Amino acid sequence: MSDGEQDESALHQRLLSGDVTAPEEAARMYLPLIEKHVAARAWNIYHINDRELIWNATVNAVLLDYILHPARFDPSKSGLLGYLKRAAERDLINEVAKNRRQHRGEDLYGDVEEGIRGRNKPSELARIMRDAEQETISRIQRQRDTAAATNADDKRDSALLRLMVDGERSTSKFAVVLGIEALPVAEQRHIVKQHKDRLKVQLKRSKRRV
Amino acid sequence: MSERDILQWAAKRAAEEPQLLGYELREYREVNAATEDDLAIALECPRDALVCLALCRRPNPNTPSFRADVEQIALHCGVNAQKLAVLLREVDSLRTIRQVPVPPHLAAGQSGLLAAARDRRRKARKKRNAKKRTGK
Repeated sequence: MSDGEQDESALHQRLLSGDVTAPEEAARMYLPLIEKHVAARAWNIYHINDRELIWNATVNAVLLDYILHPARFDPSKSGLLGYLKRAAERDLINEVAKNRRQHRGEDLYGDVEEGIRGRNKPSELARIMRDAEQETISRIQRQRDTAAATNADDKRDSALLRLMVDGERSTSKFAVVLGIEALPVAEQRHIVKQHKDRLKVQLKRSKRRV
Repeated sequence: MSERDILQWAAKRAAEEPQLLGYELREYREVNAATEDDLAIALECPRDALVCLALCRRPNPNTPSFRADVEQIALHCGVNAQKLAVLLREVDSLRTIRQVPVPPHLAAGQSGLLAAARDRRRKARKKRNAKKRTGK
Protein backbone atom coordinates (compact mmCIF):
# COMPACT_ATOMS: atom_id res chain seq x y z
CA MET A 1 0.00 0.00 0.00
CA SER A 2 1.45 3.41 -1.01
CA ASP A 3 1.70 6.38 1.38
CA GLY A 4 -1.23 8.04 -0.37
CA GLU A 5 -3.38 4.97 -0.03
CA GLN A 6 -2.42 4.64 3.64
CA ASP A 7 -3.40 8.27 4.28
CA GLU A 8 -6.65 7.71 2.40
CA SER A 9 -7.42 4.61 4.43
CA ALA A 10 -6.56 6.30 7.75
CA LEU A 11 -8.79 9.27 6.96
CA HIS A 12 -11.60 6.93 5.95
CA GLN A 13 -11.29 5.10 9.27
CA ARG A 14 -11.43 8.41 11.15
CA LEU A 15 -14.60 9.36 9.26
CA LEU A 16 -16.14 6.01 10.19
CA SER A 17 -15.25 6.49 13.86
CA GLY A 18 -16.88 9.96 13.97
CA ASP A 19 -13.67 11.98 14.39
CA VAL A 20 -14.70 15.65 14.55
CA THR A 21 -12.07 17.17 12.26
CA ALA A 22 -11.93 14.31 9.72
CA PRO A 23 -14.83 15.76 7.62
CA GLU A 24 -12.97 19.04 7.15
CA GLU A 25 -9.73 17.26 6.26
CA ALA A 26 -11.52 15.00 3.76
CA ALA A 27 -13.34 17.99 2.26
CA ARG A 28 -10.09 19.91 1.85
CA MET A 29 -8.39 16.89 0.31
CA TYR A 30 -11.08 15.74 -2.14
CA LEU A 31 -13.29 18.72 -3.03
CA PRO A 32 -10.71 20.49 -5.25
CA LEU A 33 -9.77 17.23 -7.03
CA ILE A 34 -13.36 16.23 -7.73
CA GLU A 35 -14.29 19.79 -8.71
CA LYS A 36 -11.66 19.68 -11.49
CA HIS A 37 -13.01 16.34 -12.71
CA VAL A 38 -16.63 17.59 -12.66
CA ALA A 39 -15.74 20.86 -14.41
CA ALA A 40 -13.95 18.97 -17.22
CA ARG A 41 -16.81 16.51 -17.54
CA ALA A 42 -19.44 19.29 -17.57
CA TRP A 43 -17.62 21.11 -20.34
CA ASN A 44 -16.79 18.07 -22.47
CA ILE A 45 -20.23 16.50 -22.34
CA TYR A 46 -22.72 19.34 -21.79
CA HIS A 47 -20.68 22.42 -22.80
CA ILE A 48 -21.59 23.80 -19.41
CA ASN A 49 -19.41 26.13 -17.41
CA ASP A 50 -21.80 27.00 -14.60
CA ARG A 51 -19.79 27.31 -11.39
CA GLU A 52 -22.68 26.78 -8.99
CA LEU A 53 -23.89 23.71 -10.86
CA ILE A 54 -20.37 22.23 -10.81
CA TRP A 55 -19.91 23.08 -7.13
CA ASN A 56 -23.26 21.53 -6.22
CA ALA A 57 -22.47 18.29 -8.01
CA THR A 58 -19.04 18.20 -6.34
CA VAL A 59 -20.32 18.98 -2.84
CA ASN A 60 -23.17 16.50 -3.18
CA ALA A 61 -20.73 13.72 -4.05
CA VAL A 62 -17.91 14.49 -1.65
CA LEU A 63 -19.62 16.02 1.36
CA LEU A 64 -23.16 14.69 1.38
CA ASP A 65 -22.67 11.28 -0.24
CA TYR A 66 -19.28 10.30 1.15
CA ILE A 67 -18.19 12.37 4.16
CA LEU A 68 -21.55 12.22 5.90
CA HIS A 69 -22.04 8.55 4.97
CA PRO A 70 -18.56 6.98 4.80
CA ALA A 71 -19.91 3.47 5.43
CA ARG A 72 -21.43 3.50 1.93
CA PHE A 73 -17.93 3.31 0.45
CA ASP A 74 -16.48 -0.20 0.31
CA PRO A 75 -12.67 -0.02 -0.08
CA SER A 76 -12.54 -3.65 -1.15
CA LYS A 77 -14.51 -2.84 -4.29
CA SER A 78 -12.78 0.31 -5.62
CA GLY A 79 -10.43 3.17 -4.84
CA LEU A 80 -11.89 6.21 -3.09
CA LEU A 81 -11.04 8.68 -5.85
CA GLY A 82 -12.75 6.52 -8.49
CA TYR A 83 -15.76 6.14 -6.20
CA LEU A 84 -16.00 9.90 -5.68
CA LYS A 85 -15.61 10.64 -9.40
CA ARG A 86 -18.41 8.24 -10.30
CA ALA A 87 -20.64 9.69 -7.57
CA ALA A 88 -19.89 13.21 -8.83
CA GLU A 89 -20.72 12.22 -12.42
CA ARG A 90 -24.10 10.93 -11.27
CA ASP A 91 -24.68 14.10 -9.29
CA LEU A 92 -23.70 16.18 -12.31
CA ILE A 93 -26.34 14.42 -14.42
CA ASN A 94 -28.91 15.12 -11.69
CA GLU A 95 -27.89 18.77 -11.41
CA VAL A 96 -28.06 19.28 -15.19
CA ALA A 97 -31.51 17.65 -15.30
CA LYS A 98 -32.70 19.77 -12.36
CA ASN A 99 -31.36 22.89 -14.00
CA ARG A 100 -33.15 22.08 -17.27
CA ARG A 101 -36.41 21.38 -15.44
CA GLN A 102 -36.15 24.75 -13.72
CA HIS A 103 -35.70 26.55 -17.00
CA ARG A 104 -38.43 24.67 -18.85
CA GLY A 105 -41.59 26.73 -19.08
CA GLU A 106 -39.87 30.08 -18.96
CA ASP A 107 -40.23 32.21 -22.08
CA LEU A 108 -37.76 31.90 -24.92
CA TYR A 109 -35.72 34.96 -24.14
CA GLY A 110 -35.73 34.16 -20.44
CA ASP A 111 -34.25 30.80 -21.29
CA VAL A 112 -31.61 32.29 -23.49
CA GLU A 113 -30.58 34.90 -20.97
CA GLU A 114 -30.78 32.98 -17.70
CA GLY A 115 -30.34 29.37 -18.67
CA ILE A 116 -27.62 29.55 -21.24
CA ARG A 117 -25.63 32.69 -20.50
CA GLY A 118 -22.47 31.84 -18.61
CA ARG A 119 -22.58 28.16 -19.42
CA ASN A 120 -22.30 28.20 -23.19
CA LYS A 121 -19.62 29.40 -25.54
CA PRO A 122 -20.24 32.95 -26.81
CA SER A 123 -20.59 31.53 -30.34
CA GLU A 124 -23.25 29.09 -29.12
CA LEU A 125 -25.14 31.90 -27.38
CA ALA A 126 -24.99 34.03 -30.55
CA ARG A 127 -26.36 31.11 -32.59
CA ILE A 128 -29.28 30.64 -30.19
CA MET A 129 -30.06 34.36 -30.25
CA ARG A 130 -29.93 34.35 -34.07
CA ASP A 131 -32.31 31.37 -34.22
CA ALA A 132 -34.72 33.10 -31.85
CA GLU A 133 -34.70 36.28 -33.95
CA GLN A 134 -35.17 34.26 -37.14
CA GLU A 135 -38.12 32.45 -35.57
CA THR A 136 -39.75 35.78 -34.65
CA ILE A 137 -39.21 37.17 -38.14
CA SER A 138 -40.69 34.02 -39.69
CA ARG A 139 -43.70 34.21 -37.40
CA ILE A 140 -44.39 37.83 -38.36
CA GLN A 141 -43.99 36.92 -42.02
CA ARG A 142 -46.45 34.02 -41.65
CA GLN A 143 -48.95 36.33 -39.97
CA ARG A 144 -48.72 38.75 -42.89
CA ASP A 145 -49.07 35.93 -45.40
CA THR A 146 -52.14 34.52 -43.71
CA ALA A 147 -53.75 37.94 -43.45
CA ALA A 148 -53.18 38.51 -47.15
CA ALA A 149 -54.30 34.98 -48.05
CA THR A 150 -57.63 35.20 -46.31
CA ASN A 151 -58.13 38.80 -47.21
CA ALA A 152 -59.45 38.80 -43.71
CA ASP A 153 -61.60 41.81 -43.36
CA ASP A 154 -63.52 39.62 -40.99
CA LYS A 155 -62.04 40.55 -37.61
CA ARG A 156 -63.12 37.29 -36.07
CA ASP A 157 -61.32 35.20 -38.70
CA SER A 158 -58.22 37.38 -38.32
CA ALA A 159 -58.20 36.76 -34.59
CA LEU A 160 -58.65 33.02 -35.12
CA LEU A 161 -55.82 32.94 -37.64
CA ARG A 162 -53.54 34.85 -35.30
CA LEU A 163 -54.15 32.24 -32.61
CA MET A 164 -53.45 29.44 -35.07
CA VAL A 165 -50.24 31.06 -36.27
CA ASP A 166 -49.12 31.56 -32.69
CA GLY A 167 -49.57 27.84 -32.15
CA GLU A 168 -52.38 28.28 -29.63
CA ARG A 169 -53.90 24.90 -28.71
CA SER A 170 -56.35 25.87 -26.00
CA THR A 171 -59.96 25.54 -27.14
CA SER A 172 -61.08 28.12 -24.59
CA LYS A 173 -59.05 30.89 -26.30
CA PHE A 174 -60.70 30.13 -29.66
CA ALA A 175 -64.08 29.88 -27.92
CA VAL A 176 -63.70 33.41 -26.57
CA VAL A 177 -63.03 34.76 -30.06
CA LEU A 178 -66.04 32.89 -31.41
CA GLY A 179 -68.21 33.99 -28.49
CA ILE A 180 -69.16 30.43 -27.58
CA GLU A 181 -67.48 30.16 -24.18
CA ALA A 182 -70.85 29.59 -22.50
CA LEU A 183 -71.45 26.35 -24.42
CA PRO A 184 -70.42 22.93 -23.08
CA VAL A 185 -66.73 22.16 -23.66
CA ALA A 186 -67.42 19.27 -26.07
CA GLU A 187 -69.56 21.53 -28.21
CA GLN A 188 -66.95 24.31 -28.06
CA ARG A 189 -64.31 21.83 -29.26
CA HIS A 190 -66.52 20.76 -32.17
CA ILE A 191 -67.27 24.31 -33.31
CA VAL A 192 -63.66 25.42 -32.92
CA LYS A 193 -62.52 22.47 -35.05
CA GLN A 194 -65.03 23.37 -37.75
CA HIS A 195 -63.72 26.94 -37.89
CA LYS A 196 -60.09 25.82 -37.93
CA ASP A 197 -60.76 23.36 -40.77
CA ARG A 198 -62.61 26.04 -42.71
CA LEU A 199 -59.72 28.47 -42.38
CA LYS A 200 -57.16 25.81 -43.32
CA VAL A 201 -59.11 24.99 -46.48
CA GLN A 202 -59.30 28.69 -47.26
CA LEU A 203 -55.54 28.98 -46.84
CA LYS A 204 -54.84 25.88 -48.93
CA ARG A 205 -56.89 27.31 -51.75
CA SER A 206 -54.69 30.36 -51.77
CA LYS A 207 -51.62 27.98 -51.79
CA ARG A 208 -50.39 29.12 -48.43
CA ARG A 209 -50.24 27.24 -45.18
CA VAL A 210 -50.28 28.31 -41.56
CA MET B 1 -11.99 28.67 -9.69
CA SER B 2 -9.87 28.52 -6.59
CA GLU B 3 -9.69 25.87 -3.91
CA ARG B 4 -11.11 28.39 -1.45
CA ASP B 5 -14.25 28.89 -3.54
CA ILE B 6 -15.32 25.27 -3.48
CA LEU B 7 -14.57 25.04 0.27
CA GLN B 8 -16.64 28.16 0.92
CA TRP B 9 -19.49 26.70 -1.12
CA ALA B 10 -19.25 23.46 0.86
CA ALA B 11 -19.31 25.44 4.11
CA LYS B 12 -22.48 27.17 2.92
CA ARG B 13 -24.09 23.81 2.19
CA ALA B 14 -22.87 22.49 5.57
CA ALA B 15 -25.19 25.01 7.22
CA GLU B 16 -28.09 22.77 6.17
CA GLU B 17 -26.58 19.58 7.62
CA PRO B 18 -27.30 18.96 11.32
CA GLN B 19 -24.31 16.61 11.59
CA LEU B 20 -21.90 19.42 10.77
CA LEU B 21 -20.77 22.40 12.79
CA GLY B 22 -21.89 24.78 10.05
CA TYR B 23 -25.45 24.05 11.14
CA GLU B 24 -24.69 25.31 14.67
CA LEU B 25 -22.93 28.40 13.36
CA ARG B 26 -25.95 29.25 11.23
CA GLU B 27 -28.31 28.80 14.20
CA TYR B 28 -26.11 31.05 16.33
CA ARG B 29 -26.07 33.72 13.64
CA GLU B 30 -29.85 33.55 13.22
CA VAL B 31 -30.58 33.78 16.95
CA ASN B 32 -28.15 36.64 17.50
CA ALA B 33 -28.69 38.34 14.13
CA ALA B 34 -24.91 38.14 13.75
CA THR B 35 -22.84 38.56 10.60
CA GLU B 36 -19.88 36.36 9.73
CA ASP B 37 -17.61 39.11 11.02
CA ASP B 38 -19.49 39.17 14.33
CA LEU B 39 -19.08 35.42 14.57
CA ALA B 40 -15.36 35.61 13.83
CA ILE B 41 -15.00 38.26 16.55
CA ALA B 42 -16.98 36.13 19.01
CA LEU B 43 -14.68 33.16 18.38
CA GLU B 44 -11.54 35.31 18.25
CA CYS B 45 -10.53 33.91 14.86
CA PRO B 46 -10.02 35.08 11.27
CA ARG B 47 -13.03 34.78 8.93
CA ASP B 48 -11.37 31.95 6.98
CA ALA B 49 -11.45 29.79 10.11
CA LEU B 50 -15.27 29.80 9.89
CA VAL B 51 -15.08 27.70 6.71
CA CYS B 52 -12.88 25.18 8.51
CA LEU B 53 -15.27 25.12 11.50
CA ALA B 54 -18.36 24.72 9.33
CA LEU B 55 -16.96 21.55 7.78
CA CYS B 56 -16.11 19.84 11.08
CA ARG B 57 -18.43 17.32 12.67
CA ARG B 58 -20.70 18.83 15.32
CA PRO B 59 -19.57 17.81 18.81
CA ASN B 60 -22.40 16.69 21.05
CA PRO B 61 -22.57 18.76 24.27
CA ASN B 62 -24.20 15.83 26.06
CA THR B 63 -21.33 13.40 25.60
CA PRO B 64 -18.22 13.04 27.80
CA SER B 65 -16.00 13.67 24.78
CA PHE B 66 -17.47 17.16 24.21
CA ARG B 67 -14.57 19.06 25.78
CA ALA B 68 -11.91 17.02 23.99
CA ASP B 69 -13.80 17.35 20.69
CA VAL B 70 -14.09 21.12 21.03
CA GLU B 71 -10.40 21.42 21.85
CA GLN B 72 -9.49 19.29 18.84
CA ILE B 73 -11.62 21.46 16.54
CA ALA B 74 -10.33 24.70 18.05
CA LEU B 75 -6.73 23.62 17.59
CA HIS B 76 -7.39 22.41 14.05
CA CYS B 77 -9.16 25.58 12.89
CA GLY B 78 -7.36 28.14 15.04
CA VAL B 79 -10.23 29.43 17.16
CA ASN B 80 -10.64 30.05 20.89
CA ALA B 81 -11.72 26.71 22.40
CA GLN B 82 -13.49 28.27 25.37
CA LYS B 83 -15.51 30.66 23.23
CA LEU B 84 -16.42 27.83 20.86
CA ALA B 85 -17.62 25.66 23.75
CA VAL B 86 -19.76 28.52 25.11
CA LEU B 87 -21.25 29.17 21.66
CA LEU B 88 -22.12 25.50 21.14
CA ARG B 89 -23.70 25.19 24.59
CA GLU B 90 -25.71 28.38 24.01
CA VAL B 91 -27.10 27.12 20.70
CA ASP B 92 -27.84 23.73 22.24
CA SER B 93 -29.65 25.31 25.23
CA LEU B 94 -31.75 27.55 23.00
CA ARG B 95 -32.68 24.56 20.87
CA THR B 96 -33.71 22.61 23.97
CA ILE B 97 -35.81 25.51 25.26
CA ARG B 98 -37.51 25.83 21.89
CA GLN B 99 -38.33 22.12 21.86
CA VAL B 100 -39.94 22.11 25.33
CA PRO B 101 -43.70 22.58 24.94
CA VAL B 102 -45.22 25.57 26.79
CA PRO B 103 -47.38 24.30 29.72
CA PRO B 104 -51.12 24.80 28.99
CA HIS B 105 -51.74 27.10 31.99
CA LEU B 106 -48.94 29.44 30.88
CA ALA B 107 -50.09 29.40 27.28
CA ALA B 108 -53.68 30.22 28.38
CA GLY B 109 -52.47 33.01 30.68
CA GLN B 110 -50.54 34.60 27.84
CA SER B 111 -53.49 34.68 25.49
CA GLY B 112 -55.70 36.07 28.31
CA LEU B 113 -53.29 38.93 28.86
CA LEU B 114 -53.35 39.76 25.18
CA ALA B 115 -57.13 39.66 25.08
CA ALA B 116 -57.38 42.00 28.09
CA ALA B 117 -54.99 44.45 26.51
CA ARG B 118 -57.01 44.50 23.31
CA ASP B 119 -60.29 45.02 25.23
CA ARG B 120 -58.89 47.98 27.12
CA ARG B 121 -57.67 49.70 23.94
CA ARG B 122 -60.99 49.17 22.28
CA LYS B 123 -62.85 50.69 25.27
CA ALA B 124 -60.52 53.68 25.35
CA ARG B 125 -61.16 54.29 21.67
CA LYS B 126 -64.93 54.01 22.24
CA LYS B 127 -64.71 56.62 25.01
CA ARG B 128 -62.70 58.95 22.78
CA ASN B 129 -65.22 58.54 19.97
CA ALA B 130 -68.12 59.19 22.33
CA LYS B 131 -66.41 62.39 23.60
CA LYS B 132 -65.90 63.56 20.01
CA ARG B 133 -69.53 62.95 19.20
CA THR B 134 -70.79 64.82 22.27
CA GLY B 135 -68.21 67.56 21.71
CA LYS B 136 -66.93 67.37 25.31
